[in-house]
Amino acid sequence: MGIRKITILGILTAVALTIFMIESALPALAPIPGIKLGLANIVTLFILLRFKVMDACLALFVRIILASVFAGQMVSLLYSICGGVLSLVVMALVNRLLNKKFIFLTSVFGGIAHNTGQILASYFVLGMRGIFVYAPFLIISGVVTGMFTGLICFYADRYIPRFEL
Amino acid sequence: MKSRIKPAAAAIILVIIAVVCTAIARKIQKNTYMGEASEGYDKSRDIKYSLTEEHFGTILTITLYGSDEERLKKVTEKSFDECERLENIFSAKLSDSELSRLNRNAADKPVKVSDELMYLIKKALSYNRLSEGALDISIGGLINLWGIGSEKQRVLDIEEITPYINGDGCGSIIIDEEDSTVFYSSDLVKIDLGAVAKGYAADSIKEYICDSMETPCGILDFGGNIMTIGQKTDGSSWNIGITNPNNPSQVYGVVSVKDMCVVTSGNYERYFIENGVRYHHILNPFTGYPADAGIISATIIGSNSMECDALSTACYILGVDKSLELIDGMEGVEAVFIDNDGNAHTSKGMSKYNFVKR
Amino acid sequence: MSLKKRAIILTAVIAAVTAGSILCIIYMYKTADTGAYAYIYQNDRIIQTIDLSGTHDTYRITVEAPEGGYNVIEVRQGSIGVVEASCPDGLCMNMGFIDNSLMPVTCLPNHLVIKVIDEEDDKELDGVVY
Repeated sequence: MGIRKITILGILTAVALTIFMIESALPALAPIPGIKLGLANIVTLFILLRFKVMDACLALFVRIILASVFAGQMVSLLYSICGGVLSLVVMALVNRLLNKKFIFLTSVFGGIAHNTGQILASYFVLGMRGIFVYAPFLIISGVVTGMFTGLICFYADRYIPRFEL
Repeated sequence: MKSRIKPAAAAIILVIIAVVCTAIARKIQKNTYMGEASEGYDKSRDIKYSLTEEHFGTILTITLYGSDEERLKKVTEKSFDECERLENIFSAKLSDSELSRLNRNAADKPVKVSDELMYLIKKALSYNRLSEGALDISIGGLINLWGIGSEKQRVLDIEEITPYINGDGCGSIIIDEEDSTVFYSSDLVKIDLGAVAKGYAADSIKEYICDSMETPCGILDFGGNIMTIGQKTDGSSWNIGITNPNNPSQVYGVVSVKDMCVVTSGNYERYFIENGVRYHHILNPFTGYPADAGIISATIIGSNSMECDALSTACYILGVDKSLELIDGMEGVEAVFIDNDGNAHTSKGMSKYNFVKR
Repeated sequence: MSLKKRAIILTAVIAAVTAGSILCIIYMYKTADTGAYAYIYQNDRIIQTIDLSGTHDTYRITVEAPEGGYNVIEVRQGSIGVVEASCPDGLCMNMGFIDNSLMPVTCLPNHLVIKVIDEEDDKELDGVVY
């Protein structure tokens, strides 16, 4: 991995971390621990577009681990990993089927997967079947934030010049 | 080919990592949760010991939780020994109990009584004053005559009842504290401690259990009067159901309590039905007939079981309005009353016991 | 399979999931109503409990406040609300009819609270008083 690539990935990870920290300071979407909008997925999706899956994965893990260090919570690490990883896996698969023009769709799938992952994580940690009541609400919120993320990513991809590696 | 394998491999690795993380986080969460649940939580208190015996004409069950089964067994058995001892003092049904001896002789001459019997009679008389006569321990003769719950139960004529309700009630019980004697000024008076004896026994046994165990935890079921000792082993409250008076096989509502006692008086406990009228065992001392003031179930929650026991009977006789006034004026006791229409009425501070209807 | 076809299929998947979720939410709101009880509190004590799912004909009850005010409560199948009140602000009437535990109807001047609570059947009992 070249120095340029490391630098660019580092900057993007810092951006993701900033978004992540701001988002966690916002009021909770629902009174369930660990269920969030997942706006930091914008950066994950962007890296996925410009680099390879492994690079996106690396940035994701660095971001999540650093965020957990700053927030100081072991459990929130789990929710983030579950949401982020599921989202990344789904997005990588969908992205292989489609191209940049359909980044919108990829992003919506990512949003749904992110929230599904978080709910599954809370189910496994808390063991309460009752939290699945929130699943439909979160899927819809995933679709909405996914569209939003996709839109941002689409324009970011258009205006940010190609990285010369 | 290379680019096709990589994402798939990455996906599998990521899923494996996620699963491992979940397992670890779940374990951490569980441990911290258990640790924070309550300072009283003790992993070792997972042995449950339960014993049932028959005393005071009803079924008594003592359930204790602890770490040493031998110890639990011993404490439970000793508790029932105490129960038997108290029954031999307070029972109006056992013919050789101290109370029965008192009832046989006190109309002729002052009878010397034990400190415990004296204490309970004095307490019962104080509840008589508090409830303005609703709780009356002097109508043992009338209770016997009705015989509700026994083979000789029948509807009494008004002529049979009149002599019992025209007397001085508890005023006919004359106590001499210095000589510790009791004297009845009327030969119709017979003391019946049914409304307080079970409660006193529960208090006394709880005291014994708390003295003999380091971390007392358990539940005493004294024929439907529940006394909880401490909190549950996981640190949560005990959930106690209140029987639905209109359908006693079902639960009307639930309260959550810690280290408190819950007592109910209802018209479905002992009764018989004649010509469509239900004659139940809670007699109104003013009329001599089963109480019918609008309440069909009176539940009292408090720390003292004897007090709860006495109040639940008194409130049943008094009716909703007077009872709410009485309970709201007292410290440390709360109540749920169910009226003839099946509606619940709660006292002011009931919300802290989280009463939920089912 | 062409790119376009794949995109259409994936869009259909999203549409199906979203539609399913919306149906789920509608279903949840529909089922949340049944088996609910209304508790009427006055001065923080329950004065009446009403089985809303067992109510078939709409009827009204008047609750009089000890201080002299009153609230007329209308009970419908599955919902409950205040239709007439003596309070100056009339806030309790404006809160409309409630059918779930999300928000209670409150009339502060008359110390009246109406809550709807779902049946709780899963709470394990440690004992029963009788």
